[in-house]
Parts: sequence; C-alpha cells; structure tokens
Amino acid sequence: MDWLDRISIWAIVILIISSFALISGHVGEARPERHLQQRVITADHPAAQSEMENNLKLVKNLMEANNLDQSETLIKELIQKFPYEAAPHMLMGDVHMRRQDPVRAVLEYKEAVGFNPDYLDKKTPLFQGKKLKVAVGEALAEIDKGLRRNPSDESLKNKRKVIYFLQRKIAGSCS
Amino acid sequence: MRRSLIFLVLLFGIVSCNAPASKEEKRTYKIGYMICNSEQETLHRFKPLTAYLGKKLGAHFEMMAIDTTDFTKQVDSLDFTHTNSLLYIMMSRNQGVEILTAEKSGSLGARAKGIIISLKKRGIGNVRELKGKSMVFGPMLGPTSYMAQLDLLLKSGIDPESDLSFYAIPPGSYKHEKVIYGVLFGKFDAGAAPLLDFERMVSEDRIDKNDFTVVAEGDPIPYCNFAVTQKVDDGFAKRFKEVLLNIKKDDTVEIDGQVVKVLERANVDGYEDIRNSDFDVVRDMAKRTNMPPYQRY
Repeated sequence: MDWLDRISIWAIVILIISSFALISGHVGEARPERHLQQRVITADHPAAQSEMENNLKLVKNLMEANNLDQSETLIKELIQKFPYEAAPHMLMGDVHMRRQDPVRAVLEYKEAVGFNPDYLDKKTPLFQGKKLKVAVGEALAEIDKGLRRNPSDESLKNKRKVIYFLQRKIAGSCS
Repeated sequence: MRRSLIFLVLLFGIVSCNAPASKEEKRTYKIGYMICNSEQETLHRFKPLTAYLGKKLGAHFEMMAIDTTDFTKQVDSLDFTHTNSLLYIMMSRNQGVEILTAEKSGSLGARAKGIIISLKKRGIGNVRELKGKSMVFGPMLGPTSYMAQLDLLLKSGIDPESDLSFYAIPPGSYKHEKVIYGVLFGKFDAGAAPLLDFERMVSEDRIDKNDFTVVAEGDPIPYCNFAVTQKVDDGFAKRFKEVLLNIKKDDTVEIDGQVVKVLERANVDGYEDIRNSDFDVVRDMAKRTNMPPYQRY
C-alpha cells in the first residue's frame, strides 16, 4: 500500500462521513418549494381560488376593523361554498376568540387543523401553533370554570375532550 | 494510473459537496417597530440597533415603523416586533406572538406607569375631583397614556364618556408631549401621560415639575418589548434574545459612516428577561377597561 492508496482510503472515509452528516443534518427539512401554500382547496379552478383568497382577505380586514358580525356572515358563506377548505374555519375561530368565546374558537380551530395539518407544522408558512396554544389554554380555563359551577355538564365534558385532542396535536406538532 | 484516476474522482466528489444551505439566499428578517412619537424618530432611534442585531447574528434585518393602530394588521408579515405591552398582549392572543425581552428606560427600569397630571393651580387633589372636568388622553392603544388612566378613572367611579365635561386625544405625532403641554397651557384640566415622558420633559427642562400635581398613578406594567412571531425558528429567536440581553452601554455600530452608541441612540438603558406571565397585570387591566384583546361588544 503506497501513499496514493492511503490518501484514497482517507478520501473515501471522509466522503462517507460527510455524506452521512449532510443527510442527517437535512432530514425532514422543508424543500424550498414548500414555501408555496399547501392548502386543501376543493376548487381546482384558479378563479375559485382567487375568489376564496379575496374573500379571506376581506374577512381579515373586517375583523381588524371589529366588524365581527359581517366577518361571520362572510365566513359562513365560504364554509358553505368550500366545505373542505381549512382557512374559513381558522378565521371563524379567530372571530370567536375576539368575541371572548375560546371554547367555540377551539372547536373551529380543530376543524381547520383537521382539514389542513400544516397549521401545526412550523416548517410551513401556514403555522399557527402558538396562537392555537393560547386559545387551548383559555378554553380549558373556561371549561374548568363551567365544570366547577356544574360538575355534571356533559356538553362541557364533551367539549373538553375536543380541546384535549387539539392540545395533544399541538404538543406533538412540529413546532 | 488507475489509482490516480480513482483519487481524482474522489477528490472531485468531495470538493463538489457543497452544503445546500450555502446555495440558499440569506433570509431577510423584518422587525416592526411601533411608532412611538413619529415615524422619523422611530427609524432614527432604532436604525443602529437593527444594524447591530444584523451584525451580531449574521443576518439581514429590514426595519419597518408601524402605526399602533396598524400593527395587528401587519404582524403576519413580520418576524420580530417592538411594541408596547398592550399591543404585545393583543398579538400574543390573536397572532401567537411570543415575548423575548423587556426594554429598560427611566426610573422604573423595565416597567412603566401611567399618570394623571393637572396644574397645581387648578386645585385638583384626587381622581373623584375630575368629575365635570376636561381631560386629554394619549394614543388609545397606549397602555400608560390611555388604558392605565381609564382604569384609574373607572375605579374611582368616573366614566369618561359621561362624567367628564369633555375629553380629547391630540392628532398627529408626539402625542405624549402634546398632552403635557395641553395641560401646562391650560387647555385641559387634566391629562393622561406616561410617567417616563413626564420625567424626560422635566429632566430636559422643558417643563417645571413644580407646576404640576400628579393626581393619580397607575400600577407599574411592563414597558416596551421585543417579541417574535410564530413563524420564526425558535433557535434563531433565542439567539436574537441573547444578543439583546447582552448589549452593553458602550456597544457601537457604524451607520452611514458614523460610529453610534446603540443603546444611547435608541434611548434605552438595556434589555432584560421577561416572562409572558409578567403581562398578566396588563391583561387584567385590559379586561377591566374593556380594551382589546378582551373587548366585549
């Protein structure tokens, strides 16, 4: 074995180690293409998508201007039109939060996450996990308050199960 | 010959192994600064700090001066926020923003207080005596220029909507100063101002403390703060926080050919660690005064 053999062997070892390091360092990383919104939309037609996006923008503006009733009306229309779209449920949750009803908000957030799990994936631009965590905390506090007043309230207990479900999903999400 | 060929092929393989990250463009992070007095003043104050953060973190930062009333509309496009405590609790609840550091400035350090002031010669001794009087408030989303004073009034049984002769909020920039001058020049019986701004105007000899009576003082609450939006990587946010916590009084940065002291230009004494629960006092105040994010319609 001469010097060239030894260098070749070392080069092979370095190549293998660096390949492993590179692969393990980037496992699970989002590819740049994932910057594009990964949305579950029932309508494939670009016109429908654009209509949806314009309406979502309008709802957000209405909400920021505290026009919650109008926001809710528009969201309900969107849910009817696009029943498998996650974003209207997310916004409906936001409306309930602004109405100080975190329990109803979490029920809507759970629907949204069910339609689009990217809301709990920090590697996507849709990530909303931290907002949802705040809502879950407030909703649980609200349920506890209700159950202290009426410990046999089955409706509250059922809602608590849904909230716990979302809490588990948040805890196990990529955040 | 064959061995040399193998060696060259392997060498080429190693040399061409670039990490994918190095091919990606360096990301630009956006910091939204709440406009305190004016857009120009805010940009002037925080330009060196933004450059310093960029230098220390090896990242590119873009700064934006945003009006208090527009902040929640724009927060989704930001990576970091610099706001007052009321805006923070709003964004924390509605947009999942998380606290990083609190800013230290003035006699209360990382805390701030809202005060109600009046001219001594008006003879107003307590909050109840403001009934039927006129008042001037600072910006509505200012925790120590509106909310704290509203809390004080409501606690004393005074509803500004019905129990004051009238109240106003000055238009445009430098609202806190306008409030204090509004009281000094006798346009209003009393005014709502942050203690820090009052102290600053006294120390700059722009007003004489002895002309005024502090009718009431609100509870101390966290002062301005840096927070991070939910889309930013937690590791990077932690490094951002560490840089802020470690800034020293004499740290400088070069801006437009000038070497500038970062904290001095920002009008800040430093940054300290703060927890989300430290803002519960602001949350309770917002609930009592029916302010966002707990406003009931």
